[in-house]
Amino acid sequence: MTSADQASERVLYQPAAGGESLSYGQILCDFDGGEHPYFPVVRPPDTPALLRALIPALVLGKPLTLFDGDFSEEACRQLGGTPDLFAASEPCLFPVLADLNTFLAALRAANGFTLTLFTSGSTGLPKRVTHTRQTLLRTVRTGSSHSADVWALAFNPTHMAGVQVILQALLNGNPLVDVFRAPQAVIARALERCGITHISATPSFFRLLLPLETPVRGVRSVTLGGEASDGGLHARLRAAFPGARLRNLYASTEAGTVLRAEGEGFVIPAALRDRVRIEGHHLLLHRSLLATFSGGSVEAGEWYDTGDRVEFIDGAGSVFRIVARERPWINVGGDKVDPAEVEAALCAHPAVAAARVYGKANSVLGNLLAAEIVRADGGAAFDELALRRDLAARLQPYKIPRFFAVVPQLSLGRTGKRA
Amino acid sequence: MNTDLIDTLQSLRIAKGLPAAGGISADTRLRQDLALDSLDLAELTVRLEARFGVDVFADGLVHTVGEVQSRLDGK
Repeated sequence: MTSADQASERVLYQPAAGGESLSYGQILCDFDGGEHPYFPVVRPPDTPALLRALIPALVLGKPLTLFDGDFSEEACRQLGGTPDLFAASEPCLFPVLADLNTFLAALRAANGFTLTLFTSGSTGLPKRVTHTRQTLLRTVRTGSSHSADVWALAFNPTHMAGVQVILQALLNGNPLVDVFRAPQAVIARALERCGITHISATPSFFRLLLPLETPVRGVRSVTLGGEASDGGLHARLRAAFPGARLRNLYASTEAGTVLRAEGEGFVIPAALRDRVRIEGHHLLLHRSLLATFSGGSVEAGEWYDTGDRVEFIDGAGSVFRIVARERPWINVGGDKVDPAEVEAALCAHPAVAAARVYGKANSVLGNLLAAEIVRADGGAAFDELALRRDLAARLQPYKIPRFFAVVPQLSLGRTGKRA
Repeated sequence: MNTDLIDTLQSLRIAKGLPAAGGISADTRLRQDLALDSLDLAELTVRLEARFGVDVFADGLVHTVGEVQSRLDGK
């Protein structure tokens, strides 16, 4: 079998539930030395469409902007997502990439690629964040020890964490098995059937997946990130995946993945000692690690305070864990919500005079949103379902409060400043 | 089956724009049969905990209405 044949058969993407897959060969078809359209701004309806936009941008070293498929039409319009914006640029010359090795070499060598994503912002609209190839690939590991990896894609592919899993798989020619939003039973079956070796997901993902009927030994690596995890979950993960290394990641939208830890304790690696530091129990990142923001939310200055508080768990002051986030974010199953965005959406409703949004803890997703509302006419009754439907047209599902209380005036807010 | 539990499940469906489900029994599956997603399950556990003082998902996920009822009954 020639290497070109191998590439054509190697799976790049397959849905956990079965259905149409995409091979590396199907992607390589376009790299034939001819001119093809290239789409600099996309709102991919599914992951194969995302891969078909991402790969040319990477190889050609071009910028790519990803709109979240979850965005409401209104949010898209406000972010400038008009039909013209999603049009193809002038045709580009695609180089000849005849086999998988040439393709992988081209991916690893390409320069000039930037990726713009959107993240929750305090202005009420998602913020635009632009990552360079360097910040995106900083934690991607390549090499022969990774050539047989099979990755579960458990994150939203248009979010930073999803993009990082995609890049890790792509740069090693690995298959991606799409388990994002798949039902528990489908994911459980896919683990063995698709030979998944690596899963990176939120603690909420695993809480919804476990327990499995039988332990799955083929999984070699389990990575947790995006929200706080607990010892109980770690024990259940060890039982479900006895052959896996368990790791925690510290990642942020601003910087991507920064730190990895075996277990709970993080250590600043030697290579990052001049760019990550702890000051007054706050984790600070050097600006060279950060993406570029449109909203100007990252203040100018050498060091950026992540707002994450750390606590040393060894006597020497080198091993630490993240104890609290001092940002206003509410973490709903790994999706971070800025309550100010939801409060603004609530206040846009004619019946609502004021609103306060907060997290209600639960064992399934960590938090769910709840809201206190002051009615515009001072009344006590309101149509909760109608309000939720109204919000659904403007906000992603996890940003819609599930619990409402009508109050005469708002109680003290998260910061203690709002009366 | 506890009528408060059935009512809570039906209100979750109605909030999603789905019709009330007919013939909910112990074997009815929360996700497949009632079309509840993870946000709905999180809402379910908060509502049941407020009503019964039991976190039905505390020890891992349950799949059927009967399993939820068993947790509420402390079995």
